[in-house]
Amino acid sequence: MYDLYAKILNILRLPEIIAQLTWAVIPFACIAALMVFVVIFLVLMERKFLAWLTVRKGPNRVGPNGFLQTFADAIKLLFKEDIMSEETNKLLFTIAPVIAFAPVMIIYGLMPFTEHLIAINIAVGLFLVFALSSLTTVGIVLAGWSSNNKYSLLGGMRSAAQAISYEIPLVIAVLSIAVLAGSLNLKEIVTAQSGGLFSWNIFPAFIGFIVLFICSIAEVNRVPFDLPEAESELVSGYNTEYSGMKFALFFLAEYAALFIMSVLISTLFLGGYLPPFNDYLSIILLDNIIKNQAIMDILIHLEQGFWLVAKTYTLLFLIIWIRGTLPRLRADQLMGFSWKFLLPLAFINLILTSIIKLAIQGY
Amino acid sequence: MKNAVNKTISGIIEIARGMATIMKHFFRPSITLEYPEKKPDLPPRFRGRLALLTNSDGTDACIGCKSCVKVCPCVDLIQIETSKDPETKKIVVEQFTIDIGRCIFCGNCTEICPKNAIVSTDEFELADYSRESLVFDKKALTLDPEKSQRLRDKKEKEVK
Amino acid sequence: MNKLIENSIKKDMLINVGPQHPSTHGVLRLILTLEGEIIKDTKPVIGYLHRGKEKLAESRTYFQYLPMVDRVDYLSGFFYQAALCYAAESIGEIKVPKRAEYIRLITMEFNRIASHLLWLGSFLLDLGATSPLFYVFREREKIITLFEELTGQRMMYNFYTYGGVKKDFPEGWIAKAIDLCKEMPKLFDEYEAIITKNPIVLERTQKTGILSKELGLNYGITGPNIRASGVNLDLRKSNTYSVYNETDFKTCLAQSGDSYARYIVRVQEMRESLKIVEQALKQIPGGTPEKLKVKKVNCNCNREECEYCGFDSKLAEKKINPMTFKLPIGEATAMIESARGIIACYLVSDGTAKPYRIKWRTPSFSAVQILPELIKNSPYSDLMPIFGSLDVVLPEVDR
Repeated sequence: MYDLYAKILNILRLPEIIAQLTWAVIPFACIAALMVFVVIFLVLMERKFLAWLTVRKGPNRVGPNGFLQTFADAIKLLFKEDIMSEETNKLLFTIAPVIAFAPVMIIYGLMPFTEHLIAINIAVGLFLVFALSSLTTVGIVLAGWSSNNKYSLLGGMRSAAQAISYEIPLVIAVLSIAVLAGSLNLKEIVTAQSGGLFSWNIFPAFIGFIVLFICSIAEVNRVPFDLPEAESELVSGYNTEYSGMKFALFFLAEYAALFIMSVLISTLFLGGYLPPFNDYLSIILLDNIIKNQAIMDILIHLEQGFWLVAKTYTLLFLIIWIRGTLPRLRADQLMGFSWKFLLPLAFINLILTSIIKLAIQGY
Repeated sequence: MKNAVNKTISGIIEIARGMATIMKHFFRPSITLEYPEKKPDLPPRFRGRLALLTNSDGTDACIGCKSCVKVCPCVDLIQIETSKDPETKKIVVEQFTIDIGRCIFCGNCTEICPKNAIVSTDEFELADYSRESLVFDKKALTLDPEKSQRLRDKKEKEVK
Repeated sequence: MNKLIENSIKKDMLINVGPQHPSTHGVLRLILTLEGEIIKDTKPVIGYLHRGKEKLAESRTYFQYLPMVDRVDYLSGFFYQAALCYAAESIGEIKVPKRAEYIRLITMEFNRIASHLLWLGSFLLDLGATSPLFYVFREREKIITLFEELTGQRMMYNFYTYGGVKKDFPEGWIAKAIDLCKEMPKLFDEYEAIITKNPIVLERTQKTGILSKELGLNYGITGPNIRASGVNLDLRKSNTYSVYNETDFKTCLAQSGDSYARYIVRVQEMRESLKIVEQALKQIPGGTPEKLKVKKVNCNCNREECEYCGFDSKLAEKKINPMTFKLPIGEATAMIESARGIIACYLVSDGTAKPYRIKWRTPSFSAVQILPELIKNSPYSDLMPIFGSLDVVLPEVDR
């Protein structure tokens, strides 16, 4: 790919150094574009689904069937006045949304969306994903503290407590996947699941799937674990004082994290970009018709993307559905649930999967 | 231990039941009334903005008895100025002002009116930019004979 | 020096909730002292919605005051008008026809359901569940539409008058009401499927905000709140006003006195209210207005005890002229079991066209008083669920 890019620049008579410098930026530009697109669609999807679940119509004014509503909202947020009260810590107040947002963006680069569509393919991908996702909390705590608002402070504190208690079962649940795949590289984890529906990790590690699902909801502060922004108590929690673009960054980070967590779950447990059959649909159906290998490759590539998107959106729908149903937990109950219920479950899962792994492979 | 397992299982079942109930609504028609395009159906007894009726020959139905002023719970909401016609010795209503911005739409005045001259219309979109424009004088309140007859018919139908 | 250190590491935080907070059900201000997330002290500040309803009465005639009492509690306007009417009727010894009493009963019970429904929605919103709010509003809308057809307004009805009601049911109203009564229990089942056994709701509401019998009675808590603590106090049973003694219903009680018990009592009460309405719609003297009209023309006997043209099928004893309406000298108290508890209207008449003094006793006022006791030493997250479970309507507190 790089050769092609360098060649194009060469034709344009630009020195090679520019190609070398810009090449690293391109994936991130793509990731940022993907992220914004995904979030805009996700917000619209959530609003529409929630509206349908509550016998309403949802946004239907801007664009066909309200399709452009989130674009309008995003533009509105861009042009809004950036309000900062006198007593805030200006530096931290400005930095906090960036700290919350940046790690999520890097996680996007680590995800294997298809076999080749992965920006940073490193050996400890899984480890890095969780290291980064816990960084978001730092941003939220900073936001809560620097706002100099008591509601924000409480929201930030809750977020910190929540992140600490939920990270542990989360990581232990994911550990079982590392045991099963024998690798921390996300792509290898996906490849280890190839061979149809029944070789997905969800079967040996079903409990792990449940634990990870619940923990990831807590990780991205969604109902029923949306304590940091509990509206009925804390007004809007850590982002009470935020407005305009800074608020938009928090918003973006939250929904981007929600999406990427669903991608992660489907990567780890549901076979990622792999189809639920023994082979790719396009191979099964079109192998005899299309003889050209290049076209076949493109088709397979598209299909991989389709499977990942389908799995991710099923999970997202589940999360939205849960949001429509459940009330919020209390802070102490949330901790109790994590330490007394999820953590033992995660350990049980780890032991079970290890036994299964031993039984199958025999060493 | 057994207790905890039971609790977990029943909890999962109950959450699933709740989620299934929520999902039922996914397939039900929405109840939204898309307001500015579609207007609500108002019942005949609806109490909207007040209006004055006229007789079929175009004269005021109001006889200036000021009963409505006396039963109105808001002080000075309805203001009537009358004068005696020197020839016919009849009372002529010269000014009839209602401050709709302060009206509480209780319907006391429409009930007391001996000639049914003051009625509630179906009009409910009364938002405006200034308080002054919500003070309706006699000209603004009075309906033409045709509309008055229509309103009268409607009210009569409702009474029957 | 010690004091300086003590001050600088002050543990508690003063937090001011309201008057403009997303979930204070109006404009209540609470000054909380928190230690971490534990509430140590609460001071409710009321009066942001004070409109002087009691003083206003002294400068208005009885009929001018009547539409104003709807606004004391915007969610259950019928109850307040009823209380005022009963008080005035007992001073003036005005007899109320049976049919009017039945219409009052039907509207009051429907109003109770509408009020409880809205409570249910906002209570769950306080807990963090959003969907039930919309379902609840959908059902409430049906009741409100019925009210609109009957009275002409959705919330501020001004429908009762001294000695009866102002208008009869419109055509087809009774059939619609019966349909609604049949439809409602299924919808209540749906709410219960979502809420009643939901583990998170149970965790959040059980054993929180426990109101003991003695505490409740000392603070004058009434209505569903005290019934959830196991006190059998229902004026509809014990102090039968209107025609409640002709209908068959049971008082809903719970024993534990926590938020969950208050929820259970209210949901059961809605079902009981539906039963009352159903019975009343069948038993109403004269039947449907269409039938009554035809029978009245055919009967024409003008006897007092006749089913169709006698006293009991009228809407009011006699047409009262609002401008000359006066009550004799005297005083009376009317007590009513409203959706939130006991409303008492104390009315003193000095024989003029205006009341000498009106005093309202409102159930929400007591409920706000008890809040500091209930939320002491509970986490800040529990503040709103407990406050919500008490079903406080702020205009009723301030009047």
